[in-house]
Amino acid sequence: MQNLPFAAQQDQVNKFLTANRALGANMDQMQGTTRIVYDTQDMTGVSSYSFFSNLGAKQTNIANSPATNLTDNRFDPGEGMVVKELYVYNMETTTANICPIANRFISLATVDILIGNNRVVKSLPLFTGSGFTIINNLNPTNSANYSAVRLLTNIVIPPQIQFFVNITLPAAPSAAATKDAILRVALKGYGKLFNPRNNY
Amino acid sequence: MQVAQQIIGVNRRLGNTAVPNMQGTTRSIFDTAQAATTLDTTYTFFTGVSSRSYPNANITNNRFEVGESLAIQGFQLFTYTGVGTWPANTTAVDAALAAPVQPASALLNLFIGNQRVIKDLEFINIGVHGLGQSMATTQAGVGIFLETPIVIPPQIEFYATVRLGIATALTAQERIVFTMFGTGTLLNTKESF
Repeated sequence: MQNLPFAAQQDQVNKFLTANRALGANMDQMQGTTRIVYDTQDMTGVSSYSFFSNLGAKQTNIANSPATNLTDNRFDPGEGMVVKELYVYNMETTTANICPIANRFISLATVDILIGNNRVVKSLPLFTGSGFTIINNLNPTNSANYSAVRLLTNIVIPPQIQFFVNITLPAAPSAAATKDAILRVALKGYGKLFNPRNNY
Repeated sequence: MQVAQQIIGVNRRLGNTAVPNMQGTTRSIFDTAQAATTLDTTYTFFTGVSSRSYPNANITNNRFEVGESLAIQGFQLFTYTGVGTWPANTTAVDAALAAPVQPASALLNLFIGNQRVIKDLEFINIGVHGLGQSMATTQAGVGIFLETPIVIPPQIEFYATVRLGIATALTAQERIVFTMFGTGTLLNTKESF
């Protein structure tokens, strides 16, 4: 999907400011920015994975890259973001494509996003049998390892509110997959950073 | 008209005035059918979906809960070769799915409440040939985008029938998945994130 002109992007700013005002946070003067937050999990012998939880224990490297770029699953005061894109991809630390999304049973997984105590995305299938996703697909080449979509609505994560992403697999990974298969979830979108005096 | 405005307008006419306060979201619902071995078969999706648990479906009833709705902006259909006896569908996540069969044509009818809102829409050829706003994949998946959103309000029954025409008979191991996606609402009564 192409970038929207700045005038059209005002929708995301308006929703962000409105949702935050309802919570008592006036974010008008904070610095606008683009944010990508991600978290990584080893695939173990379970069928449900929670991302962005217990981030304090994940300040380490997985597959030669930081497991996450957050230290807590809530934004600092004055910070927040509007989730516009969702990426889910797997990677392997040693063996290539031991558990690719394409053509595997993992491709029937679904995604939930929770903010505070509200579920804001409900059982969204991202892979649909092949790594091919129809909803605003950002990688229509049917990648073996990536699935990325641009959501149809803006979803606001206010400051100081916990958020999670849950992925449910149709079955637990087999022993082969648990060797080194890793799932990573990234949220991308418009954001605000704490800059109380100036707005660049 | 924006999709959100259509959701609000339809629900307001049905008396659901709280819908504008619900959480906007991206929604995709799917249901799975076991393939028949005949060449020309009509499949019904979402009726009796409560008997087909995940990963065969991601909803438990063919009517949305209070506060939930969906403005359908497109459809997707794909097939894959399942493992186990229908409707059981269990295997390791890294198990390869056998190559699916690409149907030649599909005639879609969609019913919401007592009304037919999509009438004999052929979308396999459109998708395979990349006509209009559509996508196709070598993995027997085809998707098209609608020219106008179609709103499913909460608590209204819906179901779809798809008549598949295929050149080679499918086997009973083939699974046919039908997906409807678009902008939706979820029941979150306090704030809208």
